[in-house]
Amino acid sequence: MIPRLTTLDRKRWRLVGLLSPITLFLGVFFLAPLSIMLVYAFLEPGLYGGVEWNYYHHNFGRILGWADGEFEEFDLVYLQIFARSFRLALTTVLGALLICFPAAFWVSRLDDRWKTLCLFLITLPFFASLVVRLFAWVIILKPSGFINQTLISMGLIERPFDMLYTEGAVILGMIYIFIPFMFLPLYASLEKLDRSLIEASSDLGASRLKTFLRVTLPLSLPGIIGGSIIVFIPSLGNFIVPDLLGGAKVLMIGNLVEQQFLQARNWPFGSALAMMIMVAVLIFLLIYVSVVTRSETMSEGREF
Amino acid sequence: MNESSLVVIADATKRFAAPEGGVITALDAISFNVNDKEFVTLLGPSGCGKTTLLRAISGFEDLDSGTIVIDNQLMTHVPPHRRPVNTVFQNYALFPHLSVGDNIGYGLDVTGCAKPERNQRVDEVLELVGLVGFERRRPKQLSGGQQQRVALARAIINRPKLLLLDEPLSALDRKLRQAMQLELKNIQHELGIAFVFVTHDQEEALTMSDRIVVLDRGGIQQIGTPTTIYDSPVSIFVAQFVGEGNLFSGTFTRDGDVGTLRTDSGINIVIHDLLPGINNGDKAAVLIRPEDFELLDSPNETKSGAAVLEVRIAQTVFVGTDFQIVGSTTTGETLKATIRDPSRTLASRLGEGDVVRFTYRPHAPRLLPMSENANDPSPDDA
Repeated sequence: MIPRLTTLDRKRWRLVGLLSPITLFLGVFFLAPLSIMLVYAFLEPGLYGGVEWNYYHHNFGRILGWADGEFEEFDLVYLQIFARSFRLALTTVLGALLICFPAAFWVSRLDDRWKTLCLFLITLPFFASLVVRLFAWVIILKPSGFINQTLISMGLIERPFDMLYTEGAVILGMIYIFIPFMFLPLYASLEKLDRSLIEASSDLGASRLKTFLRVTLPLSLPGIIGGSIIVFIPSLGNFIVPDLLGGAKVLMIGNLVEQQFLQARNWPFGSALAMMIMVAVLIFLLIYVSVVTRSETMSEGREF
Repeated sequence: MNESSLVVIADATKRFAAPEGGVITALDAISFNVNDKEFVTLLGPSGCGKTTLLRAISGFEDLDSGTIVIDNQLMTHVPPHRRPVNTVFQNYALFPHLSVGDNIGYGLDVTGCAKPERNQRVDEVLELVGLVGFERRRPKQLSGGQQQRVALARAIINRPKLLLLDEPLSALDRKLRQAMQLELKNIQHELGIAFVFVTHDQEEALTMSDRIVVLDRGGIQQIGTPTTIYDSPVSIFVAQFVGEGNLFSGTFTRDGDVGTLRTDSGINIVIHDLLPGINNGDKAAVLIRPEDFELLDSPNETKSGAAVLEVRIAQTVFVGTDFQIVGSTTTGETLKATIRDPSRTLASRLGEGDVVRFTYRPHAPRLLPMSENANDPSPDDA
């Protein structure tokens, strides 16, 4: 006898059917490794890689600058790398924002046909491998590279600038790779912006600057916040760009994690570093959520 | 140039490139004045240039040639935010991120008005438009009519010399629209500022305006008071666009002080008000408004100086105060007549297919020149 399914049952099964692939996938390939890392972060590193199954909080102590009590001295080196990573990530966000906002504003005012073309052009870099594109920057920036050669041949400088393996090169590279991620959310919110609001502001006596500050900027805030988040998070943990363009001099947390896992084979310390990045990102996200919900309640207004 | 004119528009011309190539003339040498405290309506079908003209006055559209002078100041190089005009936009364009109070106060906030004065003026305007108590709401929480009032309040708080209104009532339902028409008129009187009002609704134009500018294809068709426009349209276009009308085309013959238009179907209509440009043998048209018709009761009754039209009735509709009769003459023209019948028995007396006899007030027929763009003289219900 076949049991009869009620509508509720059928709805439930449909939900299970729709959600189980992603739940399984993320459960196996995201949550499980994450849990392993969370556990490892509190374990003692083995002498030749691997872990000793003892509770060990010195991984975090080491990051925060306290020595583990045996042979390390008090050292802020990891906090400094954290601080540098934050600084570089925030600079990247700011740079990408300044570059993308005018462009997104301009594109949002184009004809539909040109809009499509511009959006296609923005995503064009994705067609080439990230590593290849970053090596192109190496070729451009290196002492015998394109920029230095050009300047020398024009007689403007005598000796090549050191551009490669500087913080500037890392910021440049990160802005370059994250431009599409900043552009698209900005474009989405600016595209929705009703042009007649800008005219209304101007009509009421506001100069262009005042209109921008009082109408355009507040109404594109969701796009600004969204783009900043999407750029900030991968910037903070990025290791490819500092690896290729920063060399050994401009180390970021991402490189540190990579080194601990792949070179030092200190999985517990690498896990602790990764957890710290996640905590930092979560704090950032919490701020984001609170700001967004506040602006949302603002835009929906309140009854008095 | 009239000294007392607040706005003087001279030869305003604007052309756009058409998307499919070629050029669209949105404004074709438009000239007219707006006087102090006057309510002027720009009336015309969509695409006639009325919105372009409004945007040229507010500064959002540059003219190709011609000038706009507001308050004795040439506006050609004055940007929108420095012009002494404010606009009520068609979709209201209220700032969604600001409260009603901040929307209304916006014009004062951006010009650096002191807080106490600003708040006082916001309160005054809120009271004027009847929105006291709504100042902390968001525009989204208001009904269409309330949003319309906010848009109006926001536009008048800077005390402009001239208020521009771009079809502000088109999104409201009929009842609300009629109420707002009267209220707008009252507010205009109270503020003592000039209004330039854009609409495609001839009823709205007739109700509210001191003067109407009828526009078509970028050009002015006629300027005049509502009664002039309605009673003495100068062209077939104006006659059709403003009010309902029956148009008969035919050949004109003049006989001393009166003329006769013999319609193509053979009816002779006597014309008392002659037009200087129309001579013997010219093709011309004649307009008779529906309310100028009278029903003849007995089969032999006639009226001196007016023709009798035999009409086969297609439809009789009671529209509140009057009966609207649609029929066709025995010679083939469609005819609309509005007959007042206090006894309310008209509909039961006249059945579909009946033939009745109509005549009209002898002075009602209005002679109109055949214009080149009036190749279709059938009445248009626009």
